[in-house]
Amino acid sequence: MQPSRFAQELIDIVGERNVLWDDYDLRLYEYDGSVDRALPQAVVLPESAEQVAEIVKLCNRASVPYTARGGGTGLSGGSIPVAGGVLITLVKMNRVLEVDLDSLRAVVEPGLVNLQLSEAVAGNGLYYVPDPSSQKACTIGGNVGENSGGPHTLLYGVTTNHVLGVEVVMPDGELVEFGGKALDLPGYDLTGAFVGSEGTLGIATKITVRLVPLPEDIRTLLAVFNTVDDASATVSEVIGKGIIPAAIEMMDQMALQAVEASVHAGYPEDAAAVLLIEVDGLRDGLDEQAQAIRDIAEVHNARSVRIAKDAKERELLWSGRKGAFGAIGRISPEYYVVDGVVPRTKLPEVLEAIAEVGRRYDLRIANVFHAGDGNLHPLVLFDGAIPGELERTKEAGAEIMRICIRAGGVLSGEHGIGVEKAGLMGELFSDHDMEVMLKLKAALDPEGLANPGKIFPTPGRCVEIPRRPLAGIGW
Amino acid sequence: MIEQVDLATVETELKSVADTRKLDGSEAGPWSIGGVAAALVCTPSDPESLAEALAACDRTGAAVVPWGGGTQQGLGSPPERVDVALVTTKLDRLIEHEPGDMTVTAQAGMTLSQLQSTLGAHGQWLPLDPPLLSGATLGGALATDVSGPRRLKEGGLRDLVIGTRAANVDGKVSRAGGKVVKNVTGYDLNKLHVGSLGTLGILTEVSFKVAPLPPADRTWYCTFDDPQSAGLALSKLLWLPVSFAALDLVNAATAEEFGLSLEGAPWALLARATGFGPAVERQLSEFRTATRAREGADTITVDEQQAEGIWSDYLEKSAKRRWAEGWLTCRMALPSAEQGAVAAAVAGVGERPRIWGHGTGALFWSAAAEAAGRAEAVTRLREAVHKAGGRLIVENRGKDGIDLDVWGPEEPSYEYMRAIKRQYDPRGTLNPGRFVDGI
Repeated sequence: MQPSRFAQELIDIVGERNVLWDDYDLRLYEYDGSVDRALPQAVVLPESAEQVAEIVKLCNRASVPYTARGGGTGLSGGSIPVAGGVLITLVKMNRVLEVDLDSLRAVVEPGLVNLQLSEAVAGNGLYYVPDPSSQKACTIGGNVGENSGGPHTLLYGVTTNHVLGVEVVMPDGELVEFGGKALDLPGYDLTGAFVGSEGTLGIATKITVRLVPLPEDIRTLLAVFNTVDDASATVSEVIGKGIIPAAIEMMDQMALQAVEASVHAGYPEDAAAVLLIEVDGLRDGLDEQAQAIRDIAEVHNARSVRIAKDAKERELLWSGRKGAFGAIGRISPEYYVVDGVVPRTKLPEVLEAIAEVGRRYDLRIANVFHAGDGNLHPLVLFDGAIPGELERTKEAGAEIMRICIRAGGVLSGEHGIGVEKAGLMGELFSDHDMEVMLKLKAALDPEGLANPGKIFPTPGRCVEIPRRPLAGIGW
Repeated sequence: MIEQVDLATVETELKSVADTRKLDGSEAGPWSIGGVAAALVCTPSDPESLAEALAACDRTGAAVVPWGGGTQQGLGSPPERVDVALVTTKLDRLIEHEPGDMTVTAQAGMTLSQLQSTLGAHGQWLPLDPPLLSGATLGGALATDVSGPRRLKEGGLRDLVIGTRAANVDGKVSRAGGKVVKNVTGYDLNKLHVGSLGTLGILTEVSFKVAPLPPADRTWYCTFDDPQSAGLALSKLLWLPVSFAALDLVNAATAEEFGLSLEGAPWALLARATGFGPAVERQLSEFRTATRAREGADTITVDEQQAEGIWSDYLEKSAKRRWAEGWLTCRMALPSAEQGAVAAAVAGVGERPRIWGHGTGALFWSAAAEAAGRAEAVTRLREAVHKAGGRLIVENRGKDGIDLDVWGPEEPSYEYMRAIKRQYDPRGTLNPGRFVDGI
């Protein structure tokens, strides 16, 4: 088989080994971390910003949609090409371009794996703060697209607080820089508007990030509770007392049982909930803070409070949390991660309501979440082989989203809207609200070729977007 | 751009939605910008009327200046025209504050000081200390995005804002973001409003993250012979795992004004640390170590009561200094490592300039300036700043500084900013001509 003329034009830009056009190869790119799928019509692996620009220009000339992809770990379908077209994967652009120790900045390529950035600067005593649980595989570019979070965002912020500038291939095919190393530059904050735009406003080819000194010391506590309410009350009181831990993670019984079977971190399987709390920074006063937290947990009937005595134990406690989603695989063939956010004080009643959803839909739901900032991840367990179960699961997910909205929350804390929740946007925002947001899209991508079908509901559709053959190119 | 406007028609339309009055010559003074006076002042009582008033102006071709406390209207390039001052101060209600959530929502016309008062009663604060005169509103603070010393630790307005509602030229109020601290639901239009001078819409409501008032709060300083040495100490201190609340570089002329004598030394690094007691003590000791290199320099601790007075005087004086009549003031955004060198360069421009900078790299320069010397001063300052990879904007250009280049040279990104402006305000109703690139 020969590549089509369009594929040949891509080959002319990036070389033969960097274009995939055979059906078998394309199949590898039809899914990401979400439950949706869509097959691209070509996959291209550029090695430079200039190549990305040429690819976008080609797509413009041929009116072909394109979708950017990093590690393919996204949970909302952000990098699956629902309108077909070209999948542009940035994985070959994975270098650290500059580490500026004087200004505490780094400039990196989008395909750089998140954890590798922190590893690259660890020798200098620095790290890149946003640490999604998928950080061993997800990329900085993907983090920018989704405004990714992670467990340490309560105190330190999310991706948008750590990205100070981007070089972008705009939908018009031009390369432009927004922001830079200095803070608060004049003009509209296009860097801020770009973060979290889920690939619909252009493709980042360089990212300027803030680097932060590694904590001098850390105390990690695991508190075990007999009721979820006691755990929630502990979280509220800790924060109410002005102690802002670097992380507060909660897992309910189903989640902690799965984790314990997988990791043997010492999570007691008959507990109702566990809290993993971390304080860090200067070592001065850290023990006092940890003690204060322990005291509060005990006031709220904690069954036990364990403070990790060394780095090894700390890692063990965290491995449970970070591997929680994977551990669920032991107790269910599949799971659907829901990502919702509510005001923290609403967590107990929302967890109740979620349990009710589980009962109503006859589905098991395990809860793992960032208790400190109200960002929940109910894991709805299902078996896709059972007819109708996936649909029921998605419906349960939508119900949970409605609970979050009613509680004063939003549709996504860190995974993005993507394909998954585009249909729910109308439950949070009015048509006018979305019209106003879409003016940004109209300004920057009037042709609408940048990652179509994401974030906003398209008129009269459910999940299907008509896939046109690559126009005038003749497959 | 805007065609000839029939003010009588504008007045009639506005009166049907909100309290509107026509200014006669004598009243115009406070309602003018760069010598151009507004003709009408419209003060709606609620967001919906404000949006309708904005639409009425858009329909009738009137140029609108969003007006909060009016404390920073000197910002930006001289407006192309000023027909209507659309005042937000009646939108001053607290909408929601649940202390346990550490978020707050208030109408944009509430003053920053009123909000801090309200939060203070619950042991919280909006972690901002911008150099703003009293009367400055939340919407105004957000739309002008000027930060104070504590931005170093607490983040800037773009980091603290989590939700906004804004009146659009189509007459309707729209919202973006939410009331929760983690969010990726649709485009982050909150960020577009930050520093936008109200050129895309008029904020009617804002939601912020708030913080607990810190248990410990200490201040101290050390003097230096030159700003580069202070800069070196600053750079070292930025490597501490816990951020200082503030690390401000001030020259003697500035320090004198807020009541801090440097005993003949030309510069000082003024530090503040907040948080848990033991950590704050540690930061003091790290500061002593980092600054010890200088012969004879001592770290001087300031007692807590005196410290409160120093910081509030510093901010009040800088707020006033930014707009002092007969003075030229510039605000610079620099990579923090370059601040010392740039401070040294700009110290040689103008007569006894006041220079003050924050640990983030922000730097202010202000000097009494004859009209004739202003353009040259701006050119020299801007050259030093660009060499360091930063940007300079002229804040107080003075009545005679009409032709000063406020925003600096055009950037390639401005093309996209223009495209955005065209979508949100196609007729150029909002603050026409005041923003970058003549937007």
